[in-house]
Amino acid sequence: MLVSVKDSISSWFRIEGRGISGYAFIIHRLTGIVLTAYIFLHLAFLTSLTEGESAYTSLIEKTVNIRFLPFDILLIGVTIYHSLNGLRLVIAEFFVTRYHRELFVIFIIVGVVIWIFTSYLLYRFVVV
Amino acid sequence: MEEMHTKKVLEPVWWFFQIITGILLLVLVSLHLYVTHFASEKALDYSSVIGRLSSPGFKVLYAVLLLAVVYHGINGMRAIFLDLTMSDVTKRIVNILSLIVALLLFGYGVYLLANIG
Amino acid sequence: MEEREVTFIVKRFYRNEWREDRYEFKAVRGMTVLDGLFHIRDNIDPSLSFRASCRMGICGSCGMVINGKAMLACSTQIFDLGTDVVRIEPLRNMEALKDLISDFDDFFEKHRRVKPYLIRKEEKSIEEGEYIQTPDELRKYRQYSLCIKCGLCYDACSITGSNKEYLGPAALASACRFIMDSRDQGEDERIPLVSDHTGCWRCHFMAECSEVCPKEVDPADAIQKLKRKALIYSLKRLFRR
Repeated sequence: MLVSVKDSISSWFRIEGRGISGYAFIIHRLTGIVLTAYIFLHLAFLTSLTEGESAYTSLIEKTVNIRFLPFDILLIGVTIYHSLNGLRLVIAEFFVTRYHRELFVIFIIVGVVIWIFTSYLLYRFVVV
Repeated sequence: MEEMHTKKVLEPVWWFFQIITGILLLVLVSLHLYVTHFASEKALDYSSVIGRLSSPGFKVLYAVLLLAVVYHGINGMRAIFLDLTMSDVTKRIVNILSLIVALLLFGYGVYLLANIG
Repeated sequence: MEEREVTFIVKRFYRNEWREDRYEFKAVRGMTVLDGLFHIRDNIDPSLSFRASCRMGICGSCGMVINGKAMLACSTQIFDLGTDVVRIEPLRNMEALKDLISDFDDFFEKHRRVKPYLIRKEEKSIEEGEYIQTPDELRKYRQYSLCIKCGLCYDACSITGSNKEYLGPAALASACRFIMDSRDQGEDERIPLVSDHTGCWRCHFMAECSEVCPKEVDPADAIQKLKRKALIYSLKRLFRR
């Protein structure tokens, strides 16, 4: 018997009745898809480097901009979440599973601190 | 006794690479972000980007980053697709498509690395 | 005795149709959800069907989804749910048969597929005595042998919901139970079974199976152990050639 893609997706992202690690999985999967899509976008951006200085500079002027700052901050948040939760998964899958809840709480706190700090750095980079 | 197919023997290895590239990415992406956004305010100027990409050290670093990110991303997407119910034929299509997309991405990245700087 | 008016909303399945029925009755402190269902069947609606046997969390018959989470109805007190409206559904990742009864055929077939019995290269005769095991060797797998096959983990796992071929937490925990057993010699048969597209590589450590497990078997932990065993087994095979 086959399960429809719609049912599968609602099974992955079902929120009802989930605990902390369930939410962690849902966000990990979403951020993973976003980051994979960004690989394509990033390589496409870099194409401008082969087209000479003016093409690259105009692209940078458009994207390194206060208007894109919210997206930059969101993207770095996504990266921080995926890397820290990924580290938790590596520890659980490869070493011990026992402390995964505590690790999640610790990593969320650490991640938020890093996120705020890097967001500030990004803001300074874009605005100044 | 059931013989373990080469494909099945490799499945744990793909998982192991996923973990290795994940740890590698944690280091390399941090470094990449530090260099391009946090170290200097002129880091994204044309001259400094070209300057970085001309040095062999950065070229090797970026090649490793490219390989790790393409593997980790595409293998991750492959795992998501395999989470769906599918026939053996569809599974094979997913595996082959993942390989093709990964090779294309890596190839394009290498082309960029060779042509810039 | 403390009494409270409660509402049970039961998602029912009969002849290919779903419907929801509401039942209101007075619950008393100490009543489990299963007691509530028995009360409904005896006093309100005799057509309500559900599975139950031991009423004390040992048989694993009364697994159902209570307010969104898979639980054993007999081990869940109504007053502990923190709400007077209780929504009850059958387990979600299995076919419904009637009302709260779901079809366990796939679940048990997958359990059989991992060969849940001791495999010996050479069987000892009865005269030679039993296979001796130290307490430490027992402790390595004992936790995984406590599984009562109630199917709660099968409901909690998001991958069993999307991939019908995935063996699921219970079967993989059972495979782990035998692989960790010092008396078992079936590694060559069992590891290839659990280490393919439908086996432990479908687990991404969501760990919800361990959250809902009423026996604290911790299937998530068992599956991660399987992954490591499978990696070591594979590497050995790759370098032996």
